[in-house]
Amino acid sequence: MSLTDLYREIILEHARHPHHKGPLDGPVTLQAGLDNPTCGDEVIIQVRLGPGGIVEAAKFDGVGCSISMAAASIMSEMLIGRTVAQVKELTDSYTAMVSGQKPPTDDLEDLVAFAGVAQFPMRVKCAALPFHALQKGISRYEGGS
Amino acid sequence: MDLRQDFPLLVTPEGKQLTYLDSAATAQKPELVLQTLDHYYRHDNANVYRGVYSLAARATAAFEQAREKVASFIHAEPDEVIFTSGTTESVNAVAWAWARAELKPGDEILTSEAEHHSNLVPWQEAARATGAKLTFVPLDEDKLVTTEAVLAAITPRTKIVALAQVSNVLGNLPLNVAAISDAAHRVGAVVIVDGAQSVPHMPIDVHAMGADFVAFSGHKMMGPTGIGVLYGRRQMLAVMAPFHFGGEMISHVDAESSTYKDAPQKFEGGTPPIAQAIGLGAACDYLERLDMSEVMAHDRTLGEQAASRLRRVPGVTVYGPSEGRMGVVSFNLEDVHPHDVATALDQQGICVRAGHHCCQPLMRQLGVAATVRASFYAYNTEADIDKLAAGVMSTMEFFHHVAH
Ligand SMILES: Cc1ncc(COP(=O)(O)O)c(C=O)c1O
Repeated sequence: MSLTDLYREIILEHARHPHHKGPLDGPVTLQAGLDNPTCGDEVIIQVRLGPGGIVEAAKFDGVGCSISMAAASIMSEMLIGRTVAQVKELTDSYTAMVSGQKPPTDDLEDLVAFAGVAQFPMRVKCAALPFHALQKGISRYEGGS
Repeated sequence: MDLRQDFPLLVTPEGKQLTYLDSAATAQKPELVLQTLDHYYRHDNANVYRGVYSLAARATAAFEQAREKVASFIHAEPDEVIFTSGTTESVNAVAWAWARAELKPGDEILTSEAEHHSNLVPWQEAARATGAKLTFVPLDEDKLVTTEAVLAAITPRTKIVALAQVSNVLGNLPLNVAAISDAAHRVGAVVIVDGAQSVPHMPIDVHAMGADFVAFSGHKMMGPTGIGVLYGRRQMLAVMAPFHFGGEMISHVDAESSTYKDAPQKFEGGTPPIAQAIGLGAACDYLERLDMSEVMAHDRTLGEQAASRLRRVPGVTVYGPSEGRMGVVSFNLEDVHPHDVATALDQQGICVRAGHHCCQPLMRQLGVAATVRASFYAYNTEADIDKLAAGVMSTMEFFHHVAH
């Protein structure tokens, strides 16, 4: 177990130069914010669904460690073009991987870089934070509120 | 001093590799404390006060002897020492049992934005319940509470002054509590000191300090978890109402009402943390053997050295006093989140804390979301500072050379 198992190059790259960061311009279909009160990390996710319920745009904003910020950046990128059902599947595979319950699967693409998080129990929450925010946004959207 | 040998956790094969720099969160335990706990459970365990048999008498004697040891450690009388579960419960006890009975609308509770949440939130609640108002000591340019600023902030409406003697983030040299108590008493206010970071690290004489209440935690002074102390001046404890009601604290119970024992029993409803109190007594013995003046000098030296070493690393910001500090150093690395720093240091066997340290208002004052904190105690050495400084430099390198 070494530092580079956790901080893969792609993670550091996204943490330094996040993609899809900032407020989403135009209509927002679903959004949610979440913070981790023990460390002060905060993340907000905004998503716009287009025709056929497919994610047309996704942005995040927030402050946090390189793990949570890189996860939010890569996640926002990967949401685009997926249906809500596919987004949920992706979220499930990802959270199972970072918590060490399941090995990485191919559908995770760049998110596979976070596989090392499972060896750092104190950082699982950081990696999962943007996805938990996303889940919160989806269940609100589906609950119709 | 090199005391590592006295601390079993630090001499296991794994412990030998550890640079433990998180004593402000909780301290490691010396052999003496572990043996005392073990001995108590193996040879003296019984409930206190209740039994007439000799085993119970032995347990009770050991428990009361622990109270005497703690009292002598802070130069109080034994009946001024109330056992609680820790600083948090001690502060809450005063905020509920004393403050709610005494405060009226318009009264002021003087505290600061540098407080640990456990010496801030109970006062917010007490203010809300009574209509009293919170007022805050203005912080100086280093975001420190200074004795002068406290003295200037006391008004005729001040009824409670609630401040940490040493900040768990900034590691300031101790406030002059005697001067603060004098000024507070002149306007009829009472003083409660959050001693969580001072009592474990310096000689304490509560009577000379003149404070009405002092709260501290056993686990931060090498004692077990689950035990803490509320020191209360005898006159205060005589008028303060109990805050836990149940067995052991009553003198006479009728179906409709009851009368209570005198302090400290009046405040210790139910079976107390007997073993933990006895373990805390052993921690006091251990610390007294080291001599608290020596402990303070040692911790100060390490804190000051660590701060100046870290200040010399390009890209490191050190918070707190520019000169003179206790063994607490908070810092940040430019463009690296404190959590990433803590994980990187952990890979090198260095245990530091990263986060807001239960001081969110202070983090806002410092203009940061979180900091890294290294804190020192009697078992730390200069070698630990070398490791920390080297660890910080390699962490900086790791995060700055990739992906720039
Ligand atoms: C200054 C200060 N006050 C209060 C506390 C709370 O202590 P405990 O959690 O032991 O009740 C701490 C411990 O973190 C502290 O550092």
